[in-house]
Amino acid sequence: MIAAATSPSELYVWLHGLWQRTGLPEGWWLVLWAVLVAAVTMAFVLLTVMILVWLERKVAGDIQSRVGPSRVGTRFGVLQSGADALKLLLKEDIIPACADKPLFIIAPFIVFVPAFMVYTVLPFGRGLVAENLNLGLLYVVAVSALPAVGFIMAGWGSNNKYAILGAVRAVAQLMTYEVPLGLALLTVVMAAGSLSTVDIVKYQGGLWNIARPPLLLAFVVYFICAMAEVNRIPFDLPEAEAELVAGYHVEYSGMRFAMFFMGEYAYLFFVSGFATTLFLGGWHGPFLPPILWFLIKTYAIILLMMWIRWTYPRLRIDQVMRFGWKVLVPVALVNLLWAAFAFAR
Amino acid sequence: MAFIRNILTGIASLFKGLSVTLVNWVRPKTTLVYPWRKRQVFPRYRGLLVLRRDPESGLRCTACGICERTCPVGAISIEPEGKGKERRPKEYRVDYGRCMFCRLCVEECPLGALAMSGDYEFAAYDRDGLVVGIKQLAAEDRGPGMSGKELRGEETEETPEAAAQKAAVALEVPPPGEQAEEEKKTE
Amino acid sequence: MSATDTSRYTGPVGDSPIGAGLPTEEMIINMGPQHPSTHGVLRLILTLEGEVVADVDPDIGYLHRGMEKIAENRTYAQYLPYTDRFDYLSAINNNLAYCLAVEKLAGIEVPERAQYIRVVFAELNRIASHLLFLASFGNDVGATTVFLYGLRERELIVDLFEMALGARLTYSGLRIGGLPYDLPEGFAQACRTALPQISERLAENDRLLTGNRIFEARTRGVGVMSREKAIAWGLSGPTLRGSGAAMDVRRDDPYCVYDRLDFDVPTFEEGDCLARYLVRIEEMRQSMRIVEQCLKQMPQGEVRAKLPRVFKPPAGEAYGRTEAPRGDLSMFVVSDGSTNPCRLRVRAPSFANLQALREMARGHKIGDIVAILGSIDIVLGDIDR
Repeated sequence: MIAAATSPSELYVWLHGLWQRTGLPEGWWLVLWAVLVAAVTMAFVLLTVMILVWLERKVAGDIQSRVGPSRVGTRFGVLQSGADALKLLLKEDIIPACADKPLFIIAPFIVFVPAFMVYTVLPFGRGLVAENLNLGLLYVVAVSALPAVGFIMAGWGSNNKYAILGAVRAVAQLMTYEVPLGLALLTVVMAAGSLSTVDIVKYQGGLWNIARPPLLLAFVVYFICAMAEVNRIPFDLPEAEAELVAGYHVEYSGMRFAMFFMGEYAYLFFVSGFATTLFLGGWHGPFLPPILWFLIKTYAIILLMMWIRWTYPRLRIDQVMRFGWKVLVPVALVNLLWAAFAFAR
Repeated sequence: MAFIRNILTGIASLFKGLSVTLVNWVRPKTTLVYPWRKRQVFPRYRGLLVLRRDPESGLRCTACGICERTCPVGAISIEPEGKGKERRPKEYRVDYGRCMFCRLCVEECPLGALAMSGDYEFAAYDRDGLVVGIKQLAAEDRGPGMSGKELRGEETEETPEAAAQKAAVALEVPPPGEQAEEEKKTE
Repeated sequence: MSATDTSRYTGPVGDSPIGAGLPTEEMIINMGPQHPSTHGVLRLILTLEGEVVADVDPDIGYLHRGMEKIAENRTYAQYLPYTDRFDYLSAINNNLAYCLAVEKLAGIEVPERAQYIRVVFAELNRIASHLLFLASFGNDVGATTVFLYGLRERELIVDLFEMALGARLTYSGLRIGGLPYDLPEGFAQACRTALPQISERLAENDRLLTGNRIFEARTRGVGVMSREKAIAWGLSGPTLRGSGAAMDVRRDDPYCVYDRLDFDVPTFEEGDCLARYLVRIEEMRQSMRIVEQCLKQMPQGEVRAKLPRVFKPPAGEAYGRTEAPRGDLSMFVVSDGSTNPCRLRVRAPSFANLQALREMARGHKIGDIVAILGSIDIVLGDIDR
């Protein structure tokens, strides 16, 4: 029974056993299992997005000396995200007259789906990973490059100059910060000796990666690149309200806009979770169940990102590019060299 | 060398910024959650108009029309009735769609019959709803407000409630001892 | 005239000339009247070469209300509340310019106590206006939190105004001949409580924004205006003093009791956004000094000169000049002997300052436009009247 399953692998064995008793073909079991895992992951992602939207507004309110949401659902406003989602669902779906319809309609999905796909390799707890790909890190880097295509489609398809400007900036920024991101990840791979996220977490059983000096620098580089990937201040020029009035998603309304929004927050949780996996020891920790440790560490990183967001001004796009290429890439390369010597086998 | 120092001061400045937001994060919030908590306005606040009453003789207003002529935007319109000493307003209308709350009418009133209260909550669904007649202006339960003469200090009509309200609005921070004395001399 | 060259910018951008030899097309983009950062209903027509701005064309008039024409149909006393609504963030200075002009016209002597109180109100208004500048400038460069902090500090000042005058934005706190009524009890004490709090929070804001490396990267060297060009364009106020020209109406052409007060006029040489920002921060501190001196020096006495019931100044013209938070705000009043002004003309500082936007912004990037516009600190009520 479920109560007797003390680990996810036992749960899998029990469910598989149920399936085998029904006598249906084995191939269908694989499909069913994949759909089940995807559904659970999707549910988790959607729930997380709701929580993150609420958390962002609450943290913003606290830092700015005001209360955040405080009406909808108790005096902490916990149902605010639900109300927002409902509002967006009920909004009129406006497609600009001269917009490139296929591009316009598909773009939000191309932005959201990769943000959801990367959750496949995130180890939430001991054995709690959707699929233990032995190329986990490579998969993440590859899939993370896909939203850039979505941004260009959204910007071009909107038939709006602001959208084009925003899309071009967004893609330039993404491409620039992928490079030091990849280099920082390579140092972790060199330390752990594997591209699989589960192995990397196992490697940190004794000591968190961040405690090793070359990986501390890698963490700093990764953190900055992560903020740039998620378009957060100080790197949020692609969607700077003060200048481009929402940049590449300026023409979107209702549920389509919600997809962009959800994609951004889903990706935010992912990069924080990924940082936890690679640098903060994943789900390791005493006393509490592993998934709780994972969530605590991930939310700590998320809070740090939010704190930074509400403190600093934003950088101009050319300053962002200059910083990426002239500062982060050399630092990341030096870090790689250092790690190569530190972790030579 | 200066380059390294430049980088270090830059990074230090980033941490200083974070410290300021951290301090504000944990400070108590300055929001008054309306409508459960409402802000107390000061006695001189320019809110909605009130027609003053005397306990014995009723409304002080004699419909002389000075306020109507003084108003820069023509928000007031008066229909008088009666002659001489019996002259009273039959209808006194204020169009809040036009009123800019400048208080010139209150200041010009020779009898201190008009005042601006501390009411600020007033909303209507259409423009006609913004026109208010004598019934609301002269209603019994309106706050007293301050008339022109009271503002200029020529007469005080402080009812106990008004005096209490004034006291409640004074700041809670006690001034340093001698400074309070010195100020009373120079104010 | 070379100092006010208005041709399109075609010079180099950064390290390479525009386009670097490739055939490029310019883009005309509209930063429309509804925009989160144009400080009111201002329309900017930008001509862009990629990310670089080749030309900026401000289109104004969205807030035109015909205020100068209205003045011809109102009596002098009735018009005073209208003057609040020019530069609505510094209402007292508008009232002051109007009152100075009319009092000069009619030869009215304002009592001394009233003059001191006028200075107190004007300086408090300057602090409130500069706090709002701080808030919106921080918001424009991306530090949203500074917006909330600036407004929180401004609440302290605005409470003082509510205590004394009854309103929080458009006070119409002056009258021709002085003030409508005296200060309430406890006002000086309230001032002395509020100002040190603001001073402390300004220091906090310096830690958050002024020294911040990202903020400096956004504002240093951006929108540079040289001293000669600034004077040629007719700028005034902090926009001028940020370019190295130490001109201040309170010092050069004193009105009210400014000649008896001791204060500095902050001036910075660089002429970029950072200099204009620093000028305003320092001006806030000087204003607090002025208020303290006034509260000490204020004599007892009347606050309003006696005026006839029907006020008809003699025919003539007069010019009242003040230093508003945005610059030289002056009003020119022409009287023909009747109860209404014959002509009222407002010299609005933001109008002249906005014209310099084109000069300052050419060759910069879109992100800089917003920072430069924020640092000029315009109010559309002033520009459009």
